[in-house]
Amino acid sequence: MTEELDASKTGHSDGPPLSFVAGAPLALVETGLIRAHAFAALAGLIIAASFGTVAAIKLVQPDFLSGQVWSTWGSIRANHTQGIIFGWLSNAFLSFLYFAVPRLGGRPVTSRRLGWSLFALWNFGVVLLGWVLVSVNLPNYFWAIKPLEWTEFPLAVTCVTEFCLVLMALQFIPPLARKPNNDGIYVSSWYIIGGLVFTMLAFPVGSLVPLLVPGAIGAAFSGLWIHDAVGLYVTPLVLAIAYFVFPVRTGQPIYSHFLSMIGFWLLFFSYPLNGTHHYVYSAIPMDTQRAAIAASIITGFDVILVVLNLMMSLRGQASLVRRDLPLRFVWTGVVMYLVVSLQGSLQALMPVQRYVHFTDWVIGHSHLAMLGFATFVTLGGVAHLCQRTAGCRYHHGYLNLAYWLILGGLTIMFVDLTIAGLIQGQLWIDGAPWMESVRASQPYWLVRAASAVPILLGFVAFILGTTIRDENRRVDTNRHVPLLAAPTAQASHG
Amino acid sequence: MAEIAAHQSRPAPQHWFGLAYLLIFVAGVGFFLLSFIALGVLPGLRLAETIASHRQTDMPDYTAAEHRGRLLYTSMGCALCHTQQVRFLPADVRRWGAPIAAWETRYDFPQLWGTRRIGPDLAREAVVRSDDWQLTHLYNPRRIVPDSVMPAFAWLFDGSPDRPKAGATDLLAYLRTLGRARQAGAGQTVGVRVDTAMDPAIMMEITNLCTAPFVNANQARVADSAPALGPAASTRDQLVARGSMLFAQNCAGCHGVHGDGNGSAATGLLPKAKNLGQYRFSTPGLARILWNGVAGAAMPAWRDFPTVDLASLAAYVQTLHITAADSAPSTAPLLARGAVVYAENCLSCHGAQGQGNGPVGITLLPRPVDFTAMQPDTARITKVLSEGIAGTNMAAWPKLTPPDNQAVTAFVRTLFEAPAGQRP
Repeated sequence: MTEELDASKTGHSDGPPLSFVAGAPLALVETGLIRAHAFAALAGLIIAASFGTVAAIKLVQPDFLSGQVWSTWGSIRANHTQGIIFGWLSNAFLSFLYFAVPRLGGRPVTSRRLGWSLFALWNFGVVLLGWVLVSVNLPNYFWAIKPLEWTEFPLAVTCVTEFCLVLMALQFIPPLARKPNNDGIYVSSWYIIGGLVFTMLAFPVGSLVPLLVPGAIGAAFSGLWIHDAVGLYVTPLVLAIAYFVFPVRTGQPIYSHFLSMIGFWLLFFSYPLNGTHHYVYSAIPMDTQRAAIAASIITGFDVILVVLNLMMSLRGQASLVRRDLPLRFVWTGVVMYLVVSLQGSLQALMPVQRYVHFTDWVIGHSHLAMLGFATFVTLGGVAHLCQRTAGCRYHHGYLNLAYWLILGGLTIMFVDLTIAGLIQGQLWIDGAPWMESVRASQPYWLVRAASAVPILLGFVAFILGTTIRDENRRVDTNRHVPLLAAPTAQASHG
Repeated sequence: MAEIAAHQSRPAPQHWFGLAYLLIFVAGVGFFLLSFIALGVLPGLRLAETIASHRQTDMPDYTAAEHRGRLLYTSMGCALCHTQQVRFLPADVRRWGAPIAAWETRYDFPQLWGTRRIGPDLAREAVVRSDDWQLTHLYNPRRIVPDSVMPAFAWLFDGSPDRPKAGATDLLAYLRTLGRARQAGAGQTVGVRVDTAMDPAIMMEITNLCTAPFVNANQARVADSAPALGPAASTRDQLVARGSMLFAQNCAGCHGVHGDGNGSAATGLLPKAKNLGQYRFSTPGLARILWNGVAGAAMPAWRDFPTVDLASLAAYVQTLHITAADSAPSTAPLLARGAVVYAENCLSCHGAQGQGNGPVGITLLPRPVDFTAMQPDTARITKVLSEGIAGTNMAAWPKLTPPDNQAVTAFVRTLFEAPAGQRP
């Protein structure tokens, strides 16, 4: 179940490479938990994406799968978004953390037993229970869907989720943060620690406060969590994967420690202040809205720095990026990170908000973020750990197919929804009868539903690529790291 | 190499405050608290102030049924497609009235502002549609709005839209609360919230828009106003062709594809949609009906339509009349007798000129039919006199003798103001 320690690679005496880059773990790695969470993640991905596909089809054929509460659009949509963030991304993050944290911190995670409890609690107490409760749809304060974005699962599930977030922090922060840590604390670890602590606090506030304070005030807090879910939970963990995978796959150091620092601190400062840009022109005080819009622009600049730093770390590696699939997935995700963030800064501006808010433009934006940025990087991370974990499987051909299918589908969906959003916004401003905007959207909704075909096929190909072919028996950790003594990523000591 | 090595940190002596603590307490806790206070607590306090300053406005809390309906609304995900947030933007205000103020959300735990609008905003939905419209629409939206993509909620009913179960009635009760306080006049004394940070040009436009009382473009109302659907640039054939398409998109759900009143929504509506083939309509009459709707019935208003579309619809509806077989006699003595019968039986509601504005008629909803705007076929009048019209105040009129019946039928048909050039 666990890999053997390789004490010979722990040396760090003469400004040596960070040991995790060499690939061999310094500490006990819970490969069982890596595999379990990876499979749960891929199952969550295909199920949550199927929910999304049903929701997309229903906009074209509203009577498709209709007539029962479990399959009504509202239930399906809640199961889609919550499935993506909790079923797919969170499981993939956990899998990656079990892989990376012992390598980054030089210590095993806090407890294997805690790990399996967390696995069971997360998948049965959060993901499965959430999907079931949403489908059963009890109109009851504690058991019903909450109409709050990114925390639609019922209050009962929210309680379990928060408990799990605390367990996650206990499981992964101590091995990274405790001293002495020979490698210092590497960028990925900053993001992991910051993201886990922040989310542990922001999630309960975003989920509970809007239930306790009157509407408009609650909206101010909802706005925070809408952004924090993506900006302070998904983004830091995804960037942790990117900062981990790049130097490991290329054997090259991260371009600039300074940029890493600026990027990190600016992200944690400015992202949380973006929240209110989801309620521009609302009853929330205009000063607050303007502050959030200003923060959104700062965030855009921050992302330019982060992406610059990551891209410069790949100098001279173009052919490797083409050849090496995990690297190509992560690279693509990072490119989309830049695009989606600049788009986000742009659309937070008031004149743009006037036009695109409430339209499919925003749905296109969120898919570029969650499918383009987060899912691409995370798929790269999962491919990386599948290749390098005993008992996992890795098939280049299927993963390559998956890459092109998902990228093609996403491009179609993003362009299509963006155009649809512009048309909707124009019709609304023109004062056309409401149904005009629905009728005008129909062809675009059809294309969007069709774009699910390549995306779903891509996910299936990815799952095939990580389940067929023989298990990795002895993991050749150095396969893509020709120079063990190559200059590598920097860390700052903590 | 040296440069890179310089980036690397050495195992350093223990700092009293290490990077790990910095990450946990500054990035994790500190920046969380900063955002929590700056974007949550501070605006929250200001919002609480404005809510408190409207304490005097009369706004009832949700009743038990309304509360259950709201829970159903949230649990079925209605808020995912329907915002309840009229923004401080002229385009929103024109469509749905004054921007949503904080005090209007006083009893909303949690808020339902929403972030996506697939269907229209519902913040002011209370008075826009009739009960039978809402229930039929909930049962299956496509029965009323053929192109709707809203899910059907048939499980809230006992097999048909006129037999709602508790869930549907609760939901309807909740819809009736949306914007209720605003419509009852609350907030008028205070006016639109003035936020000094708001763009002054936009603020001015909104304030101007809000000076007049707001009526939703689809809300039926009792009024005589209507735009003139006079001769347009298009030919009559063009109007009819466009009207036919518009009719299929907007009217066929209730009035049926052929305008015979047997649309898929027919079973749920009371009064039923009119069989348009049984009437001759004047163009100004149709303009009034389309522009104002039929208050008290499911027929909404279509004031959001451009005039040319209303003219197209009017032209098309006029083609639906089956003109052939109305050869009932109308001699002078018959009409004179009819006038007497009318004055005795019909005038108090339908009015001296048949405009539906008799002394009793103006107290009724829906208003009695305006015979100057629409001329029923003889067969239709005979049927109404013997059966009445369910869902309206028009009762069966069995006390008339057959000759009186015939006379008043002929007389009523003379009240119609045929368009110029169409008079016999």
